[in-house]
This record gives sequence, C-alpha cells and structure tokens, in this order.
Amino acid sequence: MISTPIYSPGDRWFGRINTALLVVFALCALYPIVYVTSLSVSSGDAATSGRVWLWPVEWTLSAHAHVLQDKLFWTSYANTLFYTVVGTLTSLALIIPAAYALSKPRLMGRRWIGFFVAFTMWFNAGMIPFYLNLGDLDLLDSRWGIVIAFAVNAFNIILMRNFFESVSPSFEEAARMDGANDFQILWQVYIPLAKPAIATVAMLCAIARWNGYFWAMVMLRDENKIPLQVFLKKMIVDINLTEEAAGAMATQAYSLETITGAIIVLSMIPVVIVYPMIQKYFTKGVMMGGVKE
Amino acid sequence: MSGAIESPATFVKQPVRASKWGEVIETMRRDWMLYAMLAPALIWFLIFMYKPMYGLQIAFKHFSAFKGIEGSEWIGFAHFMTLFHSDQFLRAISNTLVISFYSLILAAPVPILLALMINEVHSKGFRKTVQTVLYLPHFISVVIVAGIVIAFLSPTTGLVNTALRALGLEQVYFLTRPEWFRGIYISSGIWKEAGFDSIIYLAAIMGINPALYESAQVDGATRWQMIWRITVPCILPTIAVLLVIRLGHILEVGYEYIVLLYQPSTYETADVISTYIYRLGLQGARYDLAAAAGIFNAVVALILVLTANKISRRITRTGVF
Amino acid sequence: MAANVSLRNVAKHFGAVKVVDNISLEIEPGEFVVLVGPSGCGKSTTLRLVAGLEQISDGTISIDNRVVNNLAPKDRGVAMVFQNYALYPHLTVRDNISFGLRLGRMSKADIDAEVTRAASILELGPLLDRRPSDLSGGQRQRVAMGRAIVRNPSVFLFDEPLSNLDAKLRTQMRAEIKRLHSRLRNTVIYVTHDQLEAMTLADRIVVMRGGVIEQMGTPKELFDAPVSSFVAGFMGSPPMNLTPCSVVSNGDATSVTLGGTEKLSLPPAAREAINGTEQLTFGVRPEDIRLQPREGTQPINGLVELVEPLGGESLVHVRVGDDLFVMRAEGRTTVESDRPITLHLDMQRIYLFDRKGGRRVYHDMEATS
Repeated sequence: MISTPIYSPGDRWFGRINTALLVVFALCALYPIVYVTSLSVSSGDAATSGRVWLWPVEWTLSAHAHVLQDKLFWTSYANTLFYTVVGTLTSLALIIPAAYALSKPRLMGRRWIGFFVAFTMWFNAGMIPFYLNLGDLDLLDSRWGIVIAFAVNAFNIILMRNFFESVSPSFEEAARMDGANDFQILWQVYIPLAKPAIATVAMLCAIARWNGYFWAMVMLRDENKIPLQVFLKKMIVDINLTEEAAGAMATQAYSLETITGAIIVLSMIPVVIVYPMIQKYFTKGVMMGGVKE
Repeated sequence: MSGAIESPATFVKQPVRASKWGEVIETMRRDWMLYAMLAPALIWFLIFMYKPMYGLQIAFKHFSAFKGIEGSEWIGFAHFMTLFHSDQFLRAISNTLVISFYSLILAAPVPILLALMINEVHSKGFRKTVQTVLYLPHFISVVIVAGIVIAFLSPTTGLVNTALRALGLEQVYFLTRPEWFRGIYISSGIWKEAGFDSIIYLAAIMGINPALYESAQVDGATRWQMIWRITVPCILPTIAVLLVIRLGHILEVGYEYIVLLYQPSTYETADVISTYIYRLGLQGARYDLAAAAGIFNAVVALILVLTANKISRRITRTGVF
Repeated sequence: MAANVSLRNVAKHFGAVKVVDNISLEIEPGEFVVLVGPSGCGKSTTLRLVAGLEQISDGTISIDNRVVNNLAPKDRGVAMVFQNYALYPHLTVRDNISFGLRLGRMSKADIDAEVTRAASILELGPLLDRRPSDLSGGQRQRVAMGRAIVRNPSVFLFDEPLSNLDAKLRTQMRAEIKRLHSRLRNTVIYVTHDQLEAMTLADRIVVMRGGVIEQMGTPKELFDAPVSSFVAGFMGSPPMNLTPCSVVSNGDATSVTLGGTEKLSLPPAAREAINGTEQLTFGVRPEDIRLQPREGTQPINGLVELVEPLGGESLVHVRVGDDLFVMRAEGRTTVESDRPITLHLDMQRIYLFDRKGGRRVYHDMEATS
C-alpha cells in the first residue's frame, strides 16, 4: 500500500487506536533504556531511595566518572574492539570464499560439502566436547582462541551462498570469457556485487562479537583479555546478586545502582549510535535467511 | 541394438568419460581454485565442529583428564543411567519443556501482532521510527538485559519494589523466588526479541498482492475485516512454518541468558537442560556425565528439528491452508 | 582478423539429456550466421560450446583451423555479448569495457587506445565515465558490444542480445549490429528466437530443433524452400498457413480437401510427389492468397472472422470449415468481419508436407525462385 487510501470514519478511528497502541509499545521498548540512563546520571542517594523513575534526579556524572576511571573497563573495551574487528574480518575471510565456491553448480561434491556444512546447524557436539577440544588445541585463555573458534557458522555461509546463487551466471561467464580465473572473478566481480550481502553478514558477525559473553567468560582466565561483556557481567550481575558489595560501594555521589546504570549506558552507546545506520542490513539478513531456510 | 557389432568408430568416441577417477582429476585441474577457497572453512568445520563430535565418546567413558579422551575406559551407558535417576536432570527436562511451552503460547504471538499493527501504519516516518525503536532491544546484549532486569527488580531500590511499597504492598525479592522466574524470563525475552521477530511476518505481509486490498476496499471492507480476511489468511503459512520450527527447537532454551538470571534458590524452575550441562560440566568438571546429557539433548533435538523441517517443507510446498 | 568456425559432429549431454545432438556446421570467415529456433532447441548451448563456457561431450570444434575443444574461453579468440549484458554495476563504462584487457598484461596506454577505439565505433565517448545503472537499455547494449570489440576477437558470439529491449529499440539496434558487422567484418554467430532478427541479419540461418539442425541456408532459401512444416511455420510473419488436409484421388485427378469442404485439385507434379501419402499438411503463405482470381489460382470459400488493420496492410483471418487462414490484404481493404469471402490460392506456390515427421513432399521450386 503506497498511498493512504480514503477511509471511513470507523477506519480512521481504527488507525488512531492502532497508532496510539504502537506508541505505547514503542515507549515500553524504550523505557528500560531511558530508566537506566536516568539512573546513571542521578545521585546515588536519589537512586537508592527509589526517587528515580523516569528522568534523572539530582543530576551528576560521578557514576560515569567512576566507571571511566576503572582501568579494566578500558582494557575490556579495547578487547571487545579487537574481538569485533579482527573476529569479523576473520569470519568474512573464511565465509566469503567458501560461500562462493559452494554457490557454483559445477563444484564436484557440492551436495556433500553443503551437507557437511549444514549438518552442524542441526547437530553439534555441544558445550562440553567443544570446550575440551579448545583445551586440546591450547586455545583456552587465548585471544586468538576467541577469534578463531567462533569465526565460522553454517548459517552465515548459507546466507552468503544464497546471495551468490542469486547473481546471474553471465557475470561469471563474461569475466571468464575475458580470461579471469576464479580468484579474480570472486575478488573483482562477485565481492563488489555482493557488497550489501557482505555488509549484512559482517554486521551479523560484528554484533555477535560485540554482545557475546558466554564463551569469553568460560575460556578466558586472564583479566586483561576479557571483553566488555564479561566485565559487565562481573560488575553488574555478580555483584548485584551477592548484594554484599552494595553497601560498601555506596557514597553520596554514586551507588551500586547508578554505577550499574553507568556501565550499561557506556557499553550500550556504540550499539545505539551505530544501530540505526545498520538496521537495514539486519532486516535484509532476516529476509535472506528466510529465502531458503 | 540386439547383438549389433559396434563399429570401431563409435567405440573410440566413448572413452571421454572412461573412469570416474579421470573425471575427478579433470575437475580438480579445472576447479582447484574453488577447492582452495573452500579449504579453510572446511578445515575449520573439521576442527571445531566435527572433532568435538569425536570427543562425544566420553559420554560412554569414565573420563579422566590424565588418560585423555581416547585412553579413558569405556563404561557403556552408565552415565545415562545416572542421569535418568537424577532428579536434577529430570527437573531440567521438565523445566525446559515448561519454559518453551509458555514462551510458545505467550511470546510467539506478539511479533505477529506487532507486524499486523505496523503494517496498518501509513505514515512512512512514523512507521520507520516505530520499527527502529521496536527492533532496538534485539541489539542489546543479554548481559545488559540481565543488568536492567536486576536493576528493575532490586529488592530495596528497584523500581518495581519501590512501586509496591508506595502501594502499601510487601516488597518481593523476585529473582530469588522460583515462582517468578518464568514470568521474568519470558517477559524480558518478549521485550528483547518481539520487535525484531516481527520482521519476518512483516516481510510476509509485504509480499501480499496489493490488488487484494484494493478490490476488498472497492467491495466496502473495513480495515478490521481486511486484516482478518486478507492479511491473516495470507500469512498463515508463514505463521505455521515458524511455529513448527519453534516446536522443533523446543528443547533448546539458551543458557546464555538464564545463567545470568538464575541462582540456586530458583533452580527449581529456572534450571534447564543447557544450564544443567553447563553447571555439571564446566563448573563441576563432570565432563563425561555432562557430555552424556548433551548427547541426549542433541539427539532428541535433532529428531525434533528434522521432523519440524519435514513438516514445514510440506506446508510451504502445498500450502496446508 | 575473421576466422572460420567449424563444428563437426558436436554433441552435448547433460546426464541422459542430449541438448545438442551431433551437429555439423562450417562457418566461413566473416560470415554472419544466426542460430534460430524455439527455446530449448539447443541454440544457446551450441553458442556456449563455441565460447568454451560448456565442455563438449563429443565431436570437434575448430576456430581458425585450430581445434579448441579443450581451450579456455579466453584462448579461443572469441568474445561474447550476453542476453542481460552482464555489465558490472560497480564499474564505469570505461572499466567495464577494459575489464578483460586489465586482466592481461597490457600497458595502460594500449588499454586506453583500445577503449577509445571501441568507444568511437559505438559512439560511447560521452558515456565512458558513467555507470551501467545510469544508462538506457540501448546504451547498455552498446557497452556490452564495446566490451567484446576491445578484445579484437576473430569471432563474435551474440546470445539473444536484443531480447531485453523494447520493440522500437530492437529495430534500431538490429540495424546497428548490421552496420557494425559490415564495418568490422568479423565472423559472427548470433543466437535468437526471433525469426525477424534472423531474416534481417543473417548471411546464413541455421534453424535448430530438439538439439539438431533442422535446416540451414540463406534467409531466402529458408523462406522459399523450407524443408519441413516446422521451418515453414517458423519463418515469416505472419507464418505460413499450415493445415491438415485429406487427399482424394479420382482417376487421374488428385485433389485435397481443406476444412472438410473446400476442394483444390493438385498440379500433376504434386500428384507424383505425394506418391500415395495420405496424411498431409497443406501450406500456403499469407502472401500467396488473394482476393481476386488470377492465373493459376483456385478458390475456396470461408467466413471472415477478424480483420487486423496494420496501417499499410491488413491481416484477414478467414475460417474455412475447421481451419483458419490468414492472408495479407491491402490497408484500405473493404473486407469486413462476419461476411462470407472467397479466397484465391496461388496453386503454384503451395507446399505439401508429410504430416508424420513434417518433411516437405512437394513444392514447385521454379515458381518461387
């Protein structure tokens, strides 16, 4: 429906109610984020006494300042950047060529190789053998372990392959007539053609890297290697659930609540800023996955 | 045909595909670059996906870190017997099913509803804003979501308890109460994923031929009628397929989020198979027993998923509705 | 510059399916050969075999007297224009045209010179820095040809190059391709399903059907002397009227019955040619049906079903019993629908085909040559 049709009065009311409900839902989606943000810039006193519910009370940045002074916060932030950038590039370097090869009908054994890849979506060994295997490979407590062990997944390969398959074969044939080999065709023709799909897969990889905590928590012993999410977990979940540190930490200026808020806000900022720009790629990713899933 | 003597000429033409191996060598010569492109990813799958499958044998062994996976002695199905006599494991299975079931009936319809509502918005700007806002929580990590939940539900200073106090009610430490866990888990899950999950339904709705609406309008249908008579029937196959897929994944309640929210006092309702495996294996170092639980889970999940796939394929092909 | 192309007993199987079945074809240097036929007849596959995009299953292909069976496409001295042009959207026109040259070891100056030459031939000069998305259909088509020209091929291969264009542009580009060929004089193999393109462009037409060559010859040969009812029905617009007829022998005279009622007596030569065959298909071109009797015509009666005025001429659809005949009348014809009409068939120009297999059994060659 491109243009707005002419509606009867009843339908207009329907539209208004619909809009109003959507506004309510949107506010529900936003509220927790607004709440923690307000919490993070309110005074510790206001937060502990429960006076903050929407807007900041007794505005202060001391909780943020406190978090920003924490060396581990910066270390983990830098680590996350490393894992996100290097991890995503590694993923692309492995996924794109494999997906290209798999998209070629002339590839002998294509069905078997495709099954070899896709099978891991339906069945995998699970957490324990995976962990023991990482130990065998000496990848526990290693930055490169984090990068390489999660570099590939079948879904992203299939997503990318589906896109390559949708490219008209005459692009390849024209390049072949001109004397290009497979590497040249991939690099000079398919990769430029696939930019939107590559961006989508890159975004999927990057956001998974940015937000992932579980395996980093399990694998990494050395505090200097942990990503932001593990730091967050230590600071928010572990401390709050024990509740012991709460009293010890509270001062006039900040409290456990405002610190929690500040950490959340500081770690969320990049995502919230970048997100509107990359949103369309995720929408596309959902569609691409839907085509052949 | 019968008994015809083959002339030498036709005989000579045949050996082009003389042997299977000749053909393999020919394709390798021609397509070696493709195999070179595949190799790194395939090696990755071998090392990180298939090698652990070999390691699954510890489920049937008495695993000893000194003897290693292969050196440990076989003990058959002993671990499975232990598991099925373990109340904790059985509880984890039942918790998994209950949580899945509740999210199926409570959480699954929300994205459909959102998609239908978003589709009724004609103002492009408003539509885009609403979508952006509703999709946003998907991009927030589970750690942060857990942090927000904890902040909301904090017993003394959390917003919910402050409100309860203001109403003169008793304050509740929700996260330590087993009866609250599922509600918290499912509602925060809806908050995080419902918006994003609506994309797939919205895509299905966008695929409906606009002429259907136009002709309905000419026939005098109201918007409400068009939703029920056109939109919903048209996306029913999508709904059915996604429902079936969800059913296939009913055993897979993720540990990542639950591990952040549960604590010993809520294990009663919160402990699912994956978290049980995590505690048993990674925290308790009972690798063999945990691997056995993992195998059981993976095999049942595989059967469920394959069944679901088969059904959904049938739905998409023939359009059950 | 131009090379000969020779296909000897060429076959291509996909599994058990024979897409191209034992084709032999000799193409002279500089010749413009059009492969034509309905979709699935193997014409595109034949072209792709020559290009080297598909491996042949059997036979030999030589270009410029050199067997190319196992040569990579780029080493065959051929260039191809694709149906969808296959222009790289991320590259400018210039970079699209020079793509193949840049892959080789050509100096930048030489590449520029080649691009400039191709651009001047095709009048692409002002477009060189645009991207394909900014071009019209005809311009894209020209860029695709430019990409082929810069490679200085001895053979040009065209795979339905005009099928994505609208009717007017198609006529225009057809003329342009013809002009290009008369200037460059390369050997051309051109695939199309449009008989009009085949007729206007070709030195020689190869009609294919079911993976084999049905007939080859000059456009005139194919039009005047189709070897089968298939070729007869394929060439010409509107195509030849083809209708099953029954043969009635009555002493010395042999006649055929059309539409169940209308009798036409056959010339003596036809009687001999039929030689007892009873299952025949009768063919007459719309051009050989008239409204007025002339020498050598025979009348049949029918009912005008439809008159399609095309301006300069009108197509009159006439129902004769169960059959439908189309004829050309002049634009200002007074023929009206739903009226009885008498058609006069030029009996010197009729065709008779064996209904089984469709081979032509009779046509008076001297009448048409």
